[in-house]
Amino acid sequence: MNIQFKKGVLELCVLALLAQRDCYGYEIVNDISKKISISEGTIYPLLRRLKNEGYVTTYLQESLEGPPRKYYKLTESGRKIYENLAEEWREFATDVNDFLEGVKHG
Amino acid sequence: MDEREFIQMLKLMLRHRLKGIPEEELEDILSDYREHIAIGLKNGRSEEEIVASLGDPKMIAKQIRASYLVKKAEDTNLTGDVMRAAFAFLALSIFNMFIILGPFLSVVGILITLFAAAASIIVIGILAFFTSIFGSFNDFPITYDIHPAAGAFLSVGITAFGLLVMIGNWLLLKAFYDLTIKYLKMNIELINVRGDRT
Repeated sequence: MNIQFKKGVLELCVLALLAQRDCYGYEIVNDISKKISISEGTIYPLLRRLKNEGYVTTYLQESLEGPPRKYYKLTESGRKIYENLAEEWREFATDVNDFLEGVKHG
Repeated sequence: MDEREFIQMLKLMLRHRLKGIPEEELEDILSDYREHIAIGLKNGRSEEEIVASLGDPKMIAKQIRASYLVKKAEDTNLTGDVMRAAFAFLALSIFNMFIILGPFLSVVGILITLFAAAASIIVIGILAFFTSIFGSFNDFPITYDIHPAAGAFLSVGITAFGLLVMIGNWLLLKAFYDLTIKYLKMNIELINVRGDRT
């Protein structure tokens, strides 16, 4: 798959996860790599970029097993960008699916 | 590659690719990976496996660098563009003042003259018409010693010609007005295009 395309989709997936709940890095990497094959190390630079752009914030939270973990939380502007991207993705996916259907039937 | 090697390699690559990266920033990046590996170990994965699935430290460093470069470009572009827009505005104002103002005023002058000329022709035509019909001002130059009917036709012709010139002037004025508006708009767009590129 095209790398740029995959990167964009990856960003959308991370935002979607964080839109549901706050996550720590390992959780995000784990959830995503279960479905999409990526180098797991590339999620962290992405998270860092999202933080620099003000779409997520981070906070430390104690865990039962070991040192505190860094949690990522979607900001207000992050939620907005997520909703825009998700809407764009749905339209895009519908269009592509229409083509695939067309190929099948026609 | 084990954790220590991975972290060492990543540190080296970041220092190499992101020259002058603050030490705390570097530590923050590394701590993300340390945390990731630690949690992976707790979940029963082997060190080798976790590090392998993280991928090449070189690629990670490259990726971090790419987003830093974008950020840096955005930061510098903002101030750069404001300066550029201000300069563009100034340059355009000076340009407008010296290069465009002269021709603009000349065209305005010519238009005023043309309108005055057209108005004069119309007035002369009307005056000539009345003098030829009523013969009251016998010394009126155009209809002086010709037949009153010929004078009347001639003066109607002159008036009609004056009106035609007036219509022509009106069209010229409209064209000039449109051109001026277009030019002003172009100026504004020129500045906007330069200013908005962030």
